[in-house]
Amino acid sequence: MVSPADRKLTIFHLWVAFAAFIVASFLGEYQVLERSGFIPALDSPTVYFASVSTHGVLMGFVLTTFFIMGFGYYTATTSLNTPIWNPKLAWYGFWISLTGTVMAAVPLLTGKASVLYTFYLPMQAHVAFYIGATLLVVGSWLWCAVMLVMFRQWKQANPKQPVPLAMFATTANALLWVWTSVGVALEVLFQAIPLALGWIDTVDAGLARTLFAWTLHPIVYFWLIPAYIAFYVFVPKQAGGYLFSDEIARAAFIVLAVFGLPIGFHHLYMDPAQTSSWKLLHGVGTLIVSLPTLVTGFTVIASLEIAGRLRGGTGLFGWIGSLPWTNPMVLSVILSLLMLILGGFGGVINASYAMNAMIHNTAWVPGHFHLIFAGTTVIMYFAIAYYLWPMLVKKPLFSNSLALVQLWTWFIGMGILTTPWHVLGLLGQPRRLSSMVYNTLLTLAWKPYELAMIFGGLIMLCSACLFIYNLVKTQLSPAPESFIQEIEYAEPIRPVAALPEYLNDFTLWNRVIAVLMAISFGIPILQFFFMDTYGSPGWGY
Amino acid sequence: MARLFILLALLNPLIAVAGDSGSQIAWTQDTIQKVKSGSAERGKNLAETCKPCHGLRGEGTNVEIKDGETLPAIPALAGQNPFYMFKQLRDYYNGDRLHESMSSIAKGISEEDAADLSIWFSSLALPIQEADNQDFKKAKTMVSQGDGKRILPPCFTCHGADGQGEKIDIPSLAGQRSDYFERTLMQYRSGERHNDIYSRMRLIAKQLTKAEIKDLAYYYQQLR
Repeated sequence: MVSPADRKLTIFHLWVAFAAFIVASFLGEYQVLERSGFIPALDSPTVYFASVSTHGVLMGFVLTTFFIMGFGYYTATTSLNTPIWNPKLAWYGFWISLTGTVMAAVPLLTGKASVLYTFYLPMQAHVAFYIGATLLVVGSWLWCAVMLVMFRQWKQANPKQPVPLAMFATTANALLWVWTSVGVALEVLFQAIPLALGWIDTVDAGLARTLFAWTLHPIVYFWLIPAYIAFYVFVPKQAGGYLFSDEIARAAFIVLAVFGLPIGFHHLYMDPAQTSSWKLLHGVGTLIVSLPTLVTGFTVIASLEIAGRLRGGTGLFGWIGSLPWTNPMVLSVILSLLMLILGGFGGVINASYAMNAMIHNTAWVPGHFHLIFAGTTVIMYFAIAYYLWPMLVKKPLFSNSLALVQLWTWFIGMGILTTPWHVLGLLGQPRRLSSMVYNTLLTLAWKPYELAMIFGGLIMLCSACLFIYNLVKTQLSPAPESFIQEIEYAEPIRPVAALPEYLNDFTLWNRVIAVLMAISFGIPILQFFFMDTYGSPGWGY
Repeated sequence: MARLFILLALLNPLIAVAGDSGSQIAWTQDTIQKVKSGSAERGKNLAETCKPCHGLRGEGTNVEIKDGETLPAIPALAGQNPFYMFKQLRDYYNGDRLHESMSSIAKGISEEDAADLSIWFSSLALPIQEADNQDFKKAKTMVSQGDGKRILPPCFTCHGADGQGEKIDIPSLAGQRSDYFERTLMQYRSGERHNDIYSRMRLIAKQLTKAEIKDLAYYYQQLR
């Protein structure tokens, strides 16, 4: 039984996340319209880049961080069956992160931080943007502290017992995030803020990009892990079956946390500041991380098959039809996996040096990350919200059918949006441009794809509104006299009685991460201090 | 020896291109610091000698006919980017930019003086130039979109949406005298002015028509 105070903590986090989401959704549709050039009245590079930056920050940093924190608190308290440790600290984290978000929003909305939600110095934003982003991260570190302490306390109170999988995975994410955020934190504290305040005149762009690459890729796994948690701990139960393997799930989270970190240089394949050998090392690491994704795909599908057969499905594929497709969690995982297969394929192309050169800085890249993030990941955020919301507000979901329509429209909209986006990249359309004014046959050939993207975005915007509408209506509906729904975690098909410590703790893996990070980033970072390099003055603000 | 000559001959175009940076001013930390540490107060005193030409408040003038004589346009300096202005003074000093009177005047301006003057003029309010009711549609299109057919980038990408310039080296154009603006772009077009790093303005100016240059000159003059 979750206390009202802990529920309140979760709801506050989730509402900030979803408020950011709906604002960013409108900006997203504006951007595809502006970029297409079909409506001249919308043409404004200044507004476009302010919008892109705000959209990216809201979706990539605010939605994710607040959702992960809120979901994490709820997972911790329910899976460990204990109140949140130090709720005061958790609320401090919330308010610090919210203050940071508001602080960053002001320069973003006034066009003083149109840096495309990146930290690629010497492109420079107003100092409030950097301080705001720092506060957002500092607040999330308090969440990490709460998660790590709760994990440790539970282990001490239950020696030799397997930590519940949901909490094990949440702790893996907290650990991953602490390591992940150090890179950009160093960049912002020692380069971006001093530059923005005029304390330093130039910055080493190579060092800045290297530090940002440290954060840039594992942050994706920070966003993705809640989706994987739902795959493993909610989906099998909601489908009416069992988790195929608890141990495999733990191994997948460990590999994600350990190998997801030292691989950021695939974002720097075309950068001259790092040599090919370091890029190769990070490239190999990137391909290793596809393993937990494949394992997850296998385990989730196996779990779904167990459920389908328990529900009477027979034959090679008959079990698929017998799955409860009207359950939002089950529908979401199917749609999410479909997008993961296509997005994962694109990801392997990005990770491969030669093919990366082909699509580098083209429209392919945003097409890819929208499919993986807004597709695979965010659709599971929806599923988690639909599942948890009735328990959080103690009222039944306003409309299950509306939820299903919303999930299908999100999937269809995503397909219509991102397929042409990928094609445009292959046709050579650059990313990060507000308009395509070069009227050649090539650029004219892009127009039909841009038109399709507008429709895809519009469908997604309607879907986003449906999502918010359903949650608001649920929360505002009158409370029923009796409504009891408790969270249900999936049981593994073979119960786990005991686990080796390396599958039940992170001490060893934390050390492995430290060694791998030292190998992968030690010399690439230190080289900037060994060599005489010239800094660059700030640019853009 | 013959091989050496052949090698040098082959490398010659590369050396020539490398040498055509247009200016000897590099924005190293030392140079940036030098400009930043300029004294506005000293600059104000030094600027007394600039007033006869550049105006009491650094507002410059358009072409004027006085006593039957055509006086050339003088640039507005008020509100100008100090780094850009410092570079221009040093370019005059080094001979990378030539002007019948400024070249000799700049010979008497030390690096420190140049920094002081730059800081002083940048601190003055942007000059408010007369605005007429001209239609700026074409100029605005060039500023915001450029011209794809001629691979002309939009002006705003470097000079900012409001013609405010960039932090380092990119001049503010807002409020600049239209006659001076026009003359400058025509000089870039002919190559007479060549202190733009790696020919970036020369390449653009060569693609602009005289009418477009005029339109842009009037457009930027009335910007505030």
